[in-house]
Amino acid sequence: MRLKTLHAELSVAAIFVAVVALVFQQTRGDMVEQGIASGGPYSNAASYPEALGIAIAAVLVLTLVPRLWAARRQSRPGISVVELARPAAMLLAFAAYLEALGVLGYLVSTPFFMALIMYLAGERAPIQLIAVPLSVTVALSLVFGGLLDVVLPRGQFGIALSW
Amino acid sequence: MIGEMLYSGAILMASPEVLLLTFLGVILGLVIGALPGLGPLMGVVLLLPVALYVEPLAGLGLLIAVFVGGSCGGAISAILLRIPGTPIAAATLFDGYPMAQKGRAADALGLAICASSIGGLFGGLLLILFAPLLAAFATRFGPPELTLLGVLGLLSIAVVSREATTKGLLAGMLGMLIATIGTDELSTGYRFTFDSYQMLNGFHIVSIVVGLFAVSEMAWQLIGRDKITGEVPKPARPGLRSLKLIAGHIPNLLRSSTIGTFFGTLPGAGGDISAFTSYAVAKAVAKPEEGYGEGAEGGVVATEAANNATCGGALIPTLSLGIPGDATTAVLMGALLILGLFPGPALFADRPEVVGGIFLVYILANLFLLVLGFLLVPVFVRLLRLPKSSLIPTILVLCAIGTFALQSSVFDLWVMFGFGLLGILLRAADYPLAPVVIGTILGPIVENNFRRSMLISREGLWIFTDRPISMVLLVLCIGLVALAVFVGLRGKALKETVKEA
Repeated sequence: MRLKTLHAELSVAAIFVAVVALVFQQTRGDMVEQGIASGGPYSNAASYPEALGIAIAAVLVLTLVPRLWAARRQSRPGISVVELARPAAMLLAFAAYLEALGVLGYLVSTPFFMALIMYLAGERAPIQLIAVPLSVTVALSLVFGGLLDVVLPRGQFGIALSW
Repeated sequence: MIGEMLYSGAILMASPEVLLLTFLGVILGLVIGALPGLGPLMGVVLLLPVALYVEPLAGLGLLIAVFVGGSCGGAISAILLRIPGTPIAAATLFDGYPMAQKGRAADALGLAICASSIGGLFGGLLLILFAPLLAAFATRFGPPELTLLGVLGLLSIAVVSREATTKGLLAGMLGMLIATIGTDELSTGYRFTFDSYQMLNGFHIVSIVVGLFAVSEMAWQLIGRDKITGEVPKPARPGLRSLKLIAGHIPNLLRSSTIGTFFGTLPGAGGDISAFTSYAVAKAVAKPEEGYGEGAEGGVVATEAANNATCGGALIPTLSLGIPGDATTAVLMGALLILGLFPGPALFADRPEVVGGIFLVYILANLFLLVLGFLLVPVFVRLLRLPKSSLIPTILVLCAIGTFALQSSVFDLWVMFGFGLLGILLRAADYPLAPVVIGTILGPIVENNFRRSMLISREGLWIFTDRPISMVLLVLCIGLVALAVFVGLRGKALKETVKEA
């Protein structure tokens, strides 16, 4: 199975439609309740997002109609679903890493995350899989924690290097 | 005025922190530019959180130096591997790679570095001369002019969007809509906050930029596109001979630098268009025996001088009008805004020392580029062997930590992740990403000035036609929309022709 550019374009179009719907839901609901959806230019904070919503809807139609018309005659090969497995796994791992930062902290979660992504990207040498994540973790901790005084996530166990 | 500005800027610049970070920025820019798939924009995006943690001019020096170094670094992989490290170096491989194949890799690299540095300095000179003039002119601008200027900037970016004009417009408007999230400046009401206190100030621009560009790029690289072919570059060290060689290309150098600076000032045109245009012009005026496309020195000089001069040109509208020339300068403008420095005439009037400092760090970065380029090219060549498998996780961690460092906020991390997903989808659907960022930055300028215009207007929207400057800007906006329609129709025909070919 292959995902074509048209599929992505339709997904983006769906997002735009959802965004426009959300704009009007908010301007006609929440903003009316706050009293910022009417009056002069100073107090009316809803007219600008509404105008943008209308413009987005209009340009979306202008973009999509010719595209759908052209799609009847031509279609590009697109990306195989198998090819998307690695980026999808990367995104899942990244989401897990962001969550783990709050629980395990930077020092514990980063080497595991890096090793996993390296493995996904095709690295198989054990020394590389251990040495690169550890050295990068310590180096970034030095730059951010040591030089820039950033308090890196310590997690629930409070693990951190003191520079 | 310019003299005073530069003098006060020099005092501000003469700090070890500024000098060191500018120096480091050029090195990092060269490294990031040389690595295929990255580029000056990625460098500026990744180092943006770092730049916000140091003194304003030091941070700006770092980002500007990355911009300068990254614009040149792409030539290294273009010449040695036939893979442009950045799109702006794509034209360099036409003659750079044939030169390397003929055993003249060191000459090609040396010419690229010299031309980049001289082109950048030329752009810097024009920046120093014209930015204050433009800023002085822009003091006549009121809310109607500023509204239309913002719209004009966004339209320009959208019209020249490589993918499609209407998609560029959609992306820009999405950015403008994203900018409305949070507390409204005028009414102080909450828009699209969904009762979340974390959204009261909207999304942080760094989270948006890092997600859209860096996270989506890393996922994109894992799809297997833009993969390095595995070719190992041969060692090459440019020598002083390159300085002799470049002396034989002075007219080409000046012409290409002028073209580059000019294209830099046009919002959206960018380094790639200026490099291709300079190459085409250089080829057109060259004698047939120079052999453009077969390893002509002039080809490398034209493209590299132009793409670095573009940096200086792009800073002119960014600093003097607050209209970013491209995505990289949009991020630089974002940095200025976060640091409390509002680009435009007021910056020149209120903080001349910062403007002078920016001018000088730009010039200094180009001087560093000349020296560091010659000294460190062999190191950068070795870096081309760096496996993507180590690079991708390092960049992802940098994205996460850099974004977290801004406000120690986990919410920012999830915003970054969300924009990463959006970036992937937009890329897959051939939408340009730069207009989203530019729309996010220009959105509040357009909205607030539009509402102020309506407040002072007695005749509603006619205020935009009553004033001569706003009338000219309005005509330009309408012209751009007409051009967008024309380009849209013609672009489709061109694409079909290319496919058939």
